[in-house]
Amino acid sequence: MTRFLSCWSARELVVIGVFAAASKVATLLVALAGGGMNPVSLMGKNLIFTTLLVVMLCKVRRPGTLLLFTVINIIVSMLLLGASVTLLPAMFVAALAAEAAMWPGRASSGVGNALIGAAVFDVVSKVLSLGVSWLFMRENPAMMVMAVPFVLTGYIGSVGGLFSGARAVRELRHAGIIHQ
Amino acid sequence: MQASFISRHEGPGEEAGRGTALDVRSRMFVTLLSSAVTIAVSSFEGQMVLFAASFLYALSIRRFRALLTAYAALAVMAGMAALFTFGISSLMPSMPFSFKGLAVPFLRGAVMLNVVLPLALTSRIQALLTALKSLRLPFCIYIPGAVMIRFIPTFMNDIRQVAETLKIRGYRLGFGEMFRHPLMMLRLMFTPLLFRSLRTSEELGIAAELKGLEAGGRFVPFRGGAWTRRDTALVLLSVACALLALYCHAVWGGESMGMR
Repeated sequence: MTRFLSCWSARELVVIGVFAAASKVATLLVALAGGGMNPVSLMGKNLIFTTLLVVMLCKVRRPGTLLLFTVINIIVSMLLLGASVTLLPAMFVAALAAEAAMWPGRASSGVGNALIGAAVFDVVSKVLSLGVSWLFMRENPAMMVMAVPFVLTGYIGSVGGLFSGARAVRELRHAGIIHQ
Repeated sequence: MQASFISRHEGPGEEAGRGTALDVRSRMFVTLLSSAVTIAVSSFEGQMVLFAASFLYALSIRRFRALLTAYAALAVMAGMAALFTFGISSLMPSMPFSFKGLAVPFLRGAVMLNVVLPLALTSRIQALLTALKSLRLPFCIYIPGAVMIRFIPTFMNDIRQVAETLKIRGYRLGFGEMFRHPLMMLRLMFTPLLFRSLRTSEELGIAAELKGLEAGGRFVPFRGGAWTRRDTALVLLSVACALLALYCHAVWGGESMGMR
């Protein structure tokens, strides 16, 4: 466990921290600029999150990166933004599932493995977040019916983020910012 | 080694809010406890206990305008949700509409708003970093967490600069443009920010390596924590309120399906 925790270099940890902040602020700003829960801003913020996730996974190619990114996001959200403790296991399971999906292709240098990880993370986290929503709104099941289309709309943005992420990585490789 | 992000701000415990001198760790504890208890309690009475206590806590920071704005936004969201729920209930009779059933989820949101606002409005970056350090997290969690907290204001400044650049070039950034040209707006705003993020991460990473930050290294906070009797009192009061809310939940039960 200690070996696993100390395998990251300071530079990789800084990249993870910067991308965690960027994803948090960018998604929040898109949601605010769009005036709340409308389909365009929902898709936009999910698109940005997934794009950033794909770029980060290509920049830091080490098993456990997504898990660490998720843990940091959760700790900061929980302590400073009042995110619910119930989100912790859901996001943790989603990150573990994504890490497991990325494990067979961990040695490959292409963008495919990062895309698989981001896709699995998006699907599992969305499904589990619906479960968490039920916990919040269990007193009124009609509100759950309202939450499902919002989550599905967000997922369309996540799928778009996979394509834009692949494209961004290609451009960044061309510019020499992300190395093979 | 001093793992400090020295800034012009005050030290830990010294708050920006008027009339408050609570440590960030006690506020963090209140936030964490509230987020757990508000989920567990599903009775209206229990939620009201939590809401009353958290509202007094929010009032204690004396940021009435911010509180009013936040409540106005919450009221708009709640009104929209109530309208949608009413519509769904009239289409699906198996899901009856009740104000009491609707009140508990909204009270959960209000409780979280009440505890997050004091933390967000009164805590300085330096105090947050010191509090994070005092949690004795592993190196691989502390460094990204500290970078994340420290980078958020920088990133917001970057966004402001990019937006100003776009305005100078004649692009109109607003709610309407976001709807008319969503992909173009995303591309115009997002691409420079992605490059800025990558460049900043490179610079900060190199700086961290040059300073010798590594696992097993010894970090000394810029300034120590300042836990006072008021913090202890706040923690004890919050625990008492949580217990009272759980007692109300046990006595009156919840409205949730199968959880009565």
